[in-house]
Amino acid sequence: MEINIELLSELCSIEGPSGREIGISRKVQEELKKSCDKVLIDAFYNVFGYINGKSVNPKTVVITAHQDQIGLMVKKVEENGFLRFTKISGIDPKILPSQQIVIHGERDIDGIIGSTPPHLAVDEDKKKKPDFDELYIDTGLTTEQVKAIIRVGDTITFKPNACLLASGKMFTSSSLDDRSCVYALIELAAIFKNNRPENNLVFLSASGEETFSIGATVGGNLLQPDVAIVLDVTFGRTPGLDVDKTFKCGEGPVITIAPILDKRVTGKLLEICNSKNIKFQLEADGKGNGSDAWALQVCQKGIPCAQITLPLKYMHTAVETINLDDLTTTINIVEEFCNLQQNEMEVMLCWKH
Amino acid sequence: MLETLRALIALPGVSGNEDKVREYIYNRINSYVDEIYIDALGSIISVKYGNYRTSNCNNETVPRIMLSAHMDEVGFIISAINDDGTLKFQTVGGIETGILPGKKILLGDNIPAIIGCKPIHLQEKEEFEKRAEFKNLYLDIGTTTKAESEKIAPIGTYGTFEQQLTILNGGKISGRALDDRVGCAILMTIIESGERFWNDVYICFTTMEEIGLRGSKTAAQSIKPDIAIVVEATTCADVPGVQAESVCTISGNGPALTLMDRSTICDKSLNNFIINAANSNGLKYQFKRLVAGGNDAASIQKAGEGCRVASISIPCRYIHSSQGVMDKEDMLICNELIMCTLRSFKSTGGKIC
Amino acid sequence: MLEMLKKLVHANGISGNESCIRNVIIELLCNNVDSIKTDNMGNLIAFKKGTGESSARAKIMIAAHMDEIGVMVTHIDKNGFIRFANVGWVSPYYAIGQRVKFDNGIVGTVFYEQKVENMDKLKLDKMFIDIGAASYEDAANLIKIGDTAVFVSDFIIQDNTIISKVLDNRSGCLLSILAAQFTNEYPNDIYFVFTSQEEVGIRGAGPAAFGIQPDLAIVLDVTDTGDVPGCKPMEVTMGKGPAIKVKDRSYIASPHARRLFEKVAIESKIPYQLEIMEDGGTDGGSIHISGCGVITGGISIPVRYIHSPSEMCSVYDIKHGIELLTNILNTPLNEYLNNV
Repeated sequence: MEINIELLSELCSIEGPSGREIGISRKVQEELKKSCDKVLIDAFYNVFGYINGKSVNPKTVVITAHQDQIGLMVKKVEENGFLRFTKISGIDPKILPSQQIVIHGERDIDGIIGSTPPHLAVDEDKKKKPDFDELYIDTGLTTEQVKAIIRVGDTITFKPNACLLASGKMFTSSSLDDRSCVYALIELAAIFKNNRPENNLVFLSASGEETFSIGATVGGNLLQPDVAIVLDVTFGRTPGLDVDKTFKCGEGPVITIAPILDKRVTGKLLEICNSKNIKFQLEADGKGNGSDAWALQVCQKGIPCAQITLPLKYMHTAVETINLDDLTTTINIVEEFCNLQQNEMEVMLCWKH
Repeated sequence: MLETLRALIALPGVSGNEDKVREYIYNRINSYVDEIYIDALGSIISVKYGNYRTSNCNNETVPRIMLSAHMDEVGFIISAINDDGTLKFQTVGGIETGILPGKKILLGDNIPAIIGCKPIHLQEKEEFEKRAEFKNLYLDIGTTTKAESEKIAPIGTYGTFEQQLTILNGGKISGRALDDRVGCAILMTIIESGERFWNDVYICFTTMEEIGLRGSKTAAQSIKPDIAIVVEATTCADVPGVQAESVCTISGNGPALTLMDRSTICDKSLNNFIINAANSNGLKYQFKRLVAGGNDAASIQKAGEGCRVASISIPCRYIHSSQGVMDKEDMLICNELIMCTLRSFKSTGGKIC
Repeated sequence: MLEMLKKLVHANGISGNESCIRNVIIELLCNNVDSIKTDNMGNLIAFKKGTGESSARAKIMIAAHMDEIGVMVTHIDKNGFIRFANVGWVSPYYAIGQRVKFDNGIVGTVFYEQKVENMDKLKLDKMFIDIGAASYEDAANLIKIGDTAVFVSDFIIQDNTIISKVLDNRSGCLLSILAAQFTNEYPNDIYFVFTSQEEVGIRGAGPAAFGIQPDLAIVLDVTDTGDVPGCKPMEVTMGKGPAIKVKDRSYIASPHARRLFEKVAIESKIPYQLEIMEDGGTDGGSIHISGCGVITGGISIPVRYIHSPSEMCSVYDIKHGIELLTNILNTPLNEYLNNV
């Protein structure tokens, strides 16, 4: 299966920082509508795509990825038209100086996060990380022009910049965390459109994972599924990083063993990969709190969760990079899981004593 | 109760991997309770119906009581295998990593593993003055190649400290995982006493407390208790070199009631109810005097529409290390205190007055 | 109105032990609501039925936390000096030289061990309370482990400025009470909730919201300002009107709620500001993720020097805050929320 690079690029370019996912939710809804029996958007912009299972007594499987992206927010408009901003979610201020961004005001405005020219930077300053309070955005507009279009609370995201790298397999763009997996949801829905599964599938494009996991919480409490598979990204290996926390791009997606990830479901994913010779990497994490599984697991009476993550280099920067084959493999693994018979799911979910 | 504790400590049960402990407890208690099941997160939820059901009391709702102890312990998980056969690992739950070098732990099915440590003779002066950095620690299982190690202790294998229950002098006992196998032993004793109380009493053996109070959250969300008592082990620093105000609890002074810790302010009226039961029955008790730590009471208190919680803990020296030390009497008195408290509800119609 | 605020400020209510402030609020509310109850977490929940048809009434939850920060006794030393733990965020620097008062009326001075090596790193465990006791026994006769105390401070009105402790969050409680007293003709069902244990981790609000499952939650609390010397850049200024929440550390206000509040403010010509509070969370953090999610917004009173005994706010901001709140409550919301 070839990855549709145009769709992937488009998904990465649409505005949807945590708390303001309206833009991306509409696109996801449009795409899921092509394949699902029913698609709903709630007050928090979570998108739910339902495909009903064939079985008489189907289990419900939720497959989720988060649609929100990291972003910034306008905090103050200075007297000279420059903008002060704060972070909405985890961003390293060191990558911000000299970064191209887009401010989503009355209309989208391009801007640059200012930086001190090297000639003027004092030696000690060159070594320190910049304080968010010292950074500012230059739009080139006058104060009056800025105030007419932009206000406190407007969101700011990286300027879209998707591109395929020389190898033909490595793809870079801002927001591959986690739009790459949102793409996976859309592809999976398309696969099952004509090939109805035994069990009910709900594709949840969740809001707010980078902040307070509102999507996972609402989704989990509302749907109370029997199983949930969380698709997200993990740290791609680059020089100098720990071997047990980072994974090579191109060697397959990562399946995680962690206390909060259900052993039975994770075991099933491993069984599928081993029996079908699907390339994957194994991770062990002493906690397991890096994705929406953390919030999903403890909804209402509890939801058994497993997690599949895509190795991604330079996370939370404008140049996130993945290997497209890893994305294809992720889709394969989830497809196989969703094709389990109803009684296979039943057996999997028993506590063996 | 001591023998029950010994049996519980002999079983490995790191957070997320509590199967053996769960199986043991389930098989022991299931004939003594009216209902029992294992929930989605692996916690055991059992109930003893109350005597109010067969009494002539009017139909007023009798508060539901939940007793809770967690089955999991802090431990380790293998996260990578080095080319020379040594293993990288992560901790599961809060362990003071300074105590690790030079210890032996058990992986999987009792496979001994040594936490490697540089001999003092070979340490540089600055190295000697500092604690070893966690990222430089590794496990040695006696193999020399990656392939050998992968067969014996693959990524995802859980590990525990090795210390079994030992009787020390002066009524003290020691072992790993006293936190919270002591709580489990006490609750098992209460169940196996066969005694029935006025209220419906839900007795839960929860999972994943050490990594974020997880199992108790979903258990409480299912049960919706009005009153809950968490039975735990707690910090006890009545040892040389500790300032009087930091001692927290004293081993041998009876079970400790929590007024407030970092995650919960316990319910005053429930605490007073328990204190009355202690005083009426001549049972000694103390207060936990340091605002430190947090336990399942925090997640139970906030579950659903909220619950009145109290926490009764056995003082445990060297908690979360390879072996703790506690007083046998404290454990026995705790058991008695909970029984007396539960019996007191008969005269108040099941309520805290 | 200011007399009521003074009464609220002087009613003790440390997190986890809010009975005194709760009783004062019950007294002020009981004739203006249809029912009042206290739940297992100590939240006070007062319900006022709306006048519309049942299908046309939206369910609104107004959350204002009634608890305040304070200290709890953990140890009495052999000379009668008292060691304590913080209940909520208590700054060691704000506490030096302040007075605290226990439930039984005993007052003490808070001070620090003067031999402390580094004043930059002063922590509460190097501080103590002195009640003037001569010995352990003297102190233990008056105070026991677990007793709690709140800070002592005067309530002062100076022109349009109020200087007092605990404007966080008795000002929010004031708004809620005045809204309940304002009219009996609100179109929507309203739950006036005075939450417990906000200062120790926004604990009471979640269970309260879970029980109510509102269509909309409005969180009334205070916010920082960006108008004092050397402060972090922030738009909010004392005296320029109540602040409508964009985000704080614990939640991002629902755009639906924010748009609604702004619409009402503009249509009713009420001055307002937009709030991004970077340090600090509020009850919205627990409410918005409770149950199947709640559309949550906030109205905040700009307060300078939060958590000090001399917090400061503007009467103007409070007056307009009440106006904004009552106007929102008077809006028939069901259609608006259905279109969301």
